[in-house]
Amino acid sequence: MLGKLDWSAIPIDEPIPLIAAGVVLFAILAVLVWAGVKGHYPYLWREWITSVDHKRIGVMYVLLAMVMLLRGGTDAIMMRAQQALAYHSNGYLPPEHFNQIFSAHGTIMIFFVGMPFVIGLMNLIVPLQLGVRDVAFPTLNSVGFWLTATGALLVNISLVVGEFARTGWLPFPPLSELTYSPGVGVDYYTWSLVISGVGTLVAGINLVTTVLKLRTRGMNYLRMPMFCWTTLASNLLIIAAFPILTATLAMLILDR
Amino acid sequence: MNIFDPQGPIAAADATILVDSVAVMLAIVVPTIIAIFAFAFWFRQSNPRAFYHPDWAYSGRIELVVWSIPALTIILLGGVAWIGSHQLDPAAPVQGTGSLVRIQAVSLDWKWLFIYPDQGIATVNTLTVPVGVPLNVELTSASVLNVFFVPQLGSMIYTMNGMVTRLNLRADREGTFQGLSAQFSGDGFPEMGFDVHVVSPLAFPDWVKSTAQSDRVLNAESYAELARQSVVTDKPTYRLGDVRLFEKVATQKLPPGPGPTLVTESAQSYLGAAHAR
Repeated sequence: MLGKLDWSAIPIDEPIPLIAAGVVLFAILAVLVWAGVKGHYPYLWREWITSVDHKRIGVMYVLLAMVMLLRGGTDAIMMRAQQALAYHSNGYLPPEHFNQIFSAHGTIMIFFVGMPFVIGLMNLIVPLQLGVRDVAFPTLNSVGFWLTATGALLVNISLVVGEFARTGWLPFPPLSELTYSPGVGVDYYTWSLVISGVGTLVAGINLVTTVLKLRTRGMNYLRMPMFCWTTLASNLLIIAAFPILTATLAMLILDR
Repeated sequence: MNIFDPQGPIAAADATILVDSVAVMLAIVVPTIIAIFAFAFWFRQSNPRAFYHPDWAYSGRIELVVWSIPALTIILLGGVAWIGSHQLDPAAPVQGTGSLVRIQAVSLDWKWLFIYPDQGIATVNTLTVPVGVPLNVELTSASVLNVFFVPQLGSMIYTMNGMVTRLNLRADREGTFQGLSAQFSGDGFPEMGFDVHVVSPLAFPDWVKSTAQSDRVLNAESYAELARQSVVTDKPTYRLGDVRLFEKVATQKLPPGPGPTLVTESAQSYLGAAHAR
């Protein structure tokens, strides 16, 4: 069932990722147990996880961004600590580990902190500013969020199972091709970005449609608040850029 | 490595463009930032002397200012960039004294190979050039994308597998300058620095002569050894066994570097399930 996956994928001899993963797993378990004991599961499932309310989805986007900021920020501290310690010595990280950290840091900070945070704010604010009840496609909105969360989850799984990309956060071929990156790292990168990229594209289409088609009576373009204008502009950019990103990632996946 | 201490005409022009564009941008950014705070302070609620027009809607003069100044800035910046990029076209020849020196650079994992086809020599991670002479550099990569950059001589240029890029430079002062790779290329990337020794035109033939007596020959076999992933600590020099080596690398008649091959015990945990492929 697990194919080629076996115990060698788990870095038993690497204390840093193991301890980090242990702490994260413990925190997740603690939250799950606490929610179970308090009987919050039905509430969480009905009111948050399956919610199509733009405000709740917006809050979840921002929460996801904050959790990933913790990861990305830890990566940043580890990188700077290595650079500080590596003057005329080797520091505490081997190059292949350092390269994973800085690739993961860039990927996480752009795709799983910056974008979810801003999309979360847009989700939360834009329908209120436009005077409409929800975004144009509420269910699609929920799907988009959970696709983004799935991509983020995949990046974090790479901490304990296998490795992350060692190619920087813009894995240019041929460095990211199978010849020069034989590990599973670039696969983690490409798949998490394809999955979350579809989510971002869905969110972009949703917000553009909302701004263009769902304004309340009297809310013409020149009365629209500046935030709605910036939302429109940045989501048009998402719609222009993300299909290309997804296509190039698909080509890289096929190459590999 | 200081780009503000240029040692050749290209680097000097690069530095001028950098300073000019920053000055043009600061000329608009600094007054804008000051104006934001000045306006916010002057038009505060408690200032009785500031005018207040709640029904104001349109002013042609303000529109003119807020559109014309950014437009003029963009035109000016665009002009600086346009003219500069054409004057500093990396493929355009550079004037200089003496006869041109041809250099063929190959980026490998993780070292630079410099071939002097006319002199019949080759060096690794060290480049020796005469002062004041036009330098014609042809570049390719035998592995991943890389960037050749000598900050004090100017102009970064990409090296690509199966392609040849060109760069023309001139060094105006003798000395030793640092060169580097400016594109992340894998685990050994930080070791891809190289020295550029600029020597007098009289000393250059002597250096060529002494290098040509090297007992190491650069041919297909020793090149294949170099193309393997490794970091070189010494700076080996070679007699050139095959004058057409660079063409063979660029056209991939000699295969590109094999990439990581050995999976060591310690690397297994990182490669994880992948090495099973």
